Amino acid sequence: MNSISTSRPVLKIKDLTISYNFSRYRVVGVRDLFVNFITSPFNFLFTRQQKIDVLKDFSLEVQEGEIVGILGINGAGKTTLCRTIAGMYGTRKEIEVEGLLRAIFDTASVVQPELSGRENAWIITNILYSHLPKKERLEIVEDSLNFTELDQFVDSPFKIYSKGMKVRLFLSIVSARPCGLLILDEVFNGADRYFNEKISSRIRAVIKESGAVLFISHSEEIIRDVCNRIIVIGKQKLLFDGGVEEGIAYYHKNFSMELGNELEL
Amino acid sequence: MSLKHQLLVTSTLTLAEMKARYRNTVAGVVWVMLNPLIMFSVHALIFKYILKLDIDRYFVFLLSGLLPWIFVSNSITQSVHSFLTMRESLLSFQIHPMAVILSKCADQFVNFIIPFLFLFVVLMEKETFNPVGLAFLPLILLFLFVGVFSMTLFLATLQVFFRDTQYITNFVLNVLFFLTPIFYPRHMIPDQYQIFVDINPIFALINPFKIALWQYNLPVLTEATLISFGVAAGFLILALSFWKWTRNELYINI
Repeated sequence: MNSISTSRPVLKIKDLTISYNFSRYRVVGVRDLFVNFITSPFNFLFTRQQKIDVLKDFSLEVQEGEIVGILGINGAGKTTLCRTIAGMYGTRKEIEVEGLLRAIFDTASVVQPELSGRENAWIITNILYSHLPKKERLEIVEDSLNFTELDQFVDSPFKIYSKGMKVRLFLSIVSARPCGLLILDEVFNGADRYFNEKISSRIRAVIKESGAVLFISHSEEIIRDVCNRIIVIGKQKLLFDGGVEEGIAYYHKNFSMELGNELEL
Repeated sequence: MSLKHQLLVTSTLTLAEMKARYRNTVAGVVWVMLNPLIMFSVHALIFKYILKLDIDRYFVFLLSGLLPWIFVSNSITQSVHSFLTMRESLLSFQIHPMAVILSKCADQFVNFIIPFLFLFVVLMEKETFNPVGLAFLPLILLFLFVGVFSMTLFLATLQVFFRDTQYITNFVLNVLFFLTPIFYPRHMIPDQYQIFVDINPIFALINPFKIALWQYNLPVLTEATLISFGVAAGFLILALSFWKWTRNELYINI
């Protein structure tokens, strides 16, 4: 795929630090508080809050036309970075996004399992395309339902759908329209081989029309096929930023111990 | 995402919630009416005809207290774990978590307002209502909704970090049901216990209904409405501050 980038920046991140208050999510109930207090009252009362830095002073600029594959071992902060860019952790002044942003982090997710595929398609469309007029949203639903080839199942309850069927419906809607910055996190997982090939071309078409794309995948094959730039993150920072083959080679070289579990080679 | 888009998402989630709840049930949407009407009838039967409480215009008294209470109670108990039950969707889309709570409260508000209006119209046959009191209703309903949304947002956020919240909330609501003058009038409470009514925020939100519909008195209604506004605004500030403080960790903990 590999479209050519222009010089118009779509995403600017300057000195972004993402950290979590670790102690805040260790204790989750009265029983835990009580046990911690009884077993170690000094630590309970005087231990300072622990902070975990996921990313520290992270900077990145993505230009229009760039499809950036993000590599990193589990827990490196790939999804956290993308969720932060998507504004899911609140607005960050260190991040500037030009144009409309659409981010998808799970393609098998459902809003109301009791409702039919068609009704859920309408809900998902309203969430993802709330900026579009109703007529266009209805067109997206109809077009996506036809694309799924789920036929009579579109009016069956979503709860009886297999994972693959959910992925079909979800991906068909997600790939219906381009946007300024598209964030796709492991979107190709779950669908069968036939639909994967069918949806891949549709998603690639959307990627081509979108301003820029951040793409997370553990599949080198897909990353090679889709991306024209690679960044590798780990150890709380940007470790590599460059071409696709160089990026994959860098990832192999520096994380070879983890690759056995990480990459679908 | 602009406010207009957030409202579209919220209304979509509200309608989905309403459709999903009664899907596959025999009575379907009739439950919206049936549940509060049964509660209303049972309370009327027990307290007016069996215990024979001597309360003037008891049906109006009950309408102005019990139905708002059911709205408050249902909104809180059914939404307090929303961030956890909606985990999958919250982690997948850019749904603003507040839109989830707002949609749950809006759903419960519709469930409250339909039987409320139905009973109000039925009672209008025999009862008279002060027009100035009725004119206050939109404002009272607004403060009630804001107050309930704020309480629910605060408790749902707290639930993410402190999983006992839902159990404590259920317990407190059960206790408050008896401590709040809903099915008995306030003057039945001895003076030394009136403080529990004064510090009860749910009563502060419900009290203007009672004055506007049951025992209209303009200065008292104005004061009660101002207190209701203060409670709603206070909880809104508390909920938004807590939300802002914990938002960074919310997605990790759900």
